[in-house]
Amino acid sequence: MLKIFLGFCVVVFSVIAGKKFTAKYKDRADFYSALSDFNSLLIRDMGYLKEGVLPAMEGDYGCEKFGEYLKRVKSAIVENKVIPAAPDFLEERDAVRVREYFSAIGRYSSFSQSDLLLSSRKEFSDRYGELKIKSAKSSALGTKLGFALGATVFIIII
Amino acid sequence: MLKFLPKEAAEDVLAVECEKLSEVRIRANKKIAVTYISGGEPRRKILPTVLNETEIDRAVFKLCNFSIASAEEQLKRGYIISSEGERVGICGEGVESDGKITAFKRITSLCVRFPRQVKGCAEEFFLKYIKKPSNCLVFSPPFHGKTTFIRDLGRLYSVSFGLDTLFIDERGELSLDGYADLGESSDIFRNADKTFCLVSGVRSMNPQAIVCDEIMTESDCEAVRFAVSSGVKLLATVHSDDLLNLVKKQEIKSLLREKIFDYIVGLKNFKVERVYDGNLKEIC
Repeated sequence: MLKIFLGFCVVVFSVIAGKKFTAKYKDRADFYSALSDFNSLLIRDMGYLKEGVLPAMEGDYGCEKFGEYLKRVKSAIVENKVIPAAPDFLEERDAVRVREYFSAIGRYSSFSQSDLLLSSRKEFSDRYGELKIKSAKSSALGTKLGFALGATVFIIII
Repeated sequence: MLKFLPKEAAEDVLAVECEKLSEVRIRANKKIAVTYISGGEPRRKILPTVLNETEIDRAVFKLCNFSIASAEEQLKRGYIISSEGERVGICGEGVESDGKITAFKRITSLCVRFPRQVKGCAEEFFLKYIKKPSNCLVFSPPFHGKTTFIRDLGRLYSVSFGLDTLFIDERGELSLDGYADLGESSDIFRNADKTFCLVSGVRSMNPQAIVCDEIMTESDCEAVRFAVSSGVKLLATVHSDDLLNLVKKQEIKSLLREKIFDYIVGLKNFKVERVYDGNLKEIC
């Protein structure tokens, strides 16, 4: 009985570990989803209220890690410091792009700013699509591998 | 105040008669000049503080709330209103596109003005001359209290006559960014084009009086004619040091010839110096 209980615990643990192992793929997708929403808000702002970048940074974009990064970016802008490096769960090319984006917004005329935001909209949305598929695949694979590993250990135990 | 300046520079400026401060001039690599009011007259003081071009550029970016695009229209007109209501004139290299100035770069000078409400400053004139709502044109050289005077006169129209008074505040100076007491029956158009507001304000807000600062162009005058001919009482200002120079301004000359204004008021050092009637006859 104890062996079955132990084996069951191992399976649950392995599945959770498998999920955790692939969490970075979900984080990437969530980050890009929030970034895409942030960019869309700026586009709308440019068209009507023109309140600028800082008020947009106060918003909640449904991704805690993006929110934390926005806070750091905002404080860097206000304190005239270099835009901080993007979170390390992002792929290197994404991290570079994100930092580039935040270094550029707010510094141009409305014409150039609109151009930047509109071209970023397509780019972010495409990248989010890719990351979402990757995240779904990785998450399923992680769960399966975790379960398989747990099940193997379960068999060995009993 | 002056939150857009580097901390040390702001502290140095605010150490000078902070409550009486009326203008600060900042020029790249030159000492900051401060003007303050003492004994009713403007006085100037030169501070040892010097800002360079990068620091001025940074101050402008801060003034734009870190979004050049959101302050672009103001930048094109050569000034920015700070979040605390200070009006900051800018001077630098114009960027031209299709024959029009579309932006400024390499900004080398800032002129910060601190508009203040002086309640009652127009009361003496109001009680003596304005027995019924009238059209008034106030003139003086820059920095002699036109905006302060007309703000108070507008408030008196709103409070004493109970008129629906529309303040056209193109640069946030009249309403002090919403902080000024302009009376219960006042409406404010803020940070929007004067000509547009004069016309659309008459149509949409149905005002009984309009207060409008600095009439300058032919289109401003056209809009003034439209408002007055619609039966609205108008209080306006114009830059000029005396009546002779005032009538030399072609646009204003035609308004005066048409006798649009019932009173023309000349100010000097924040006080009424001369009052003329619609026929330009001196009555004070």
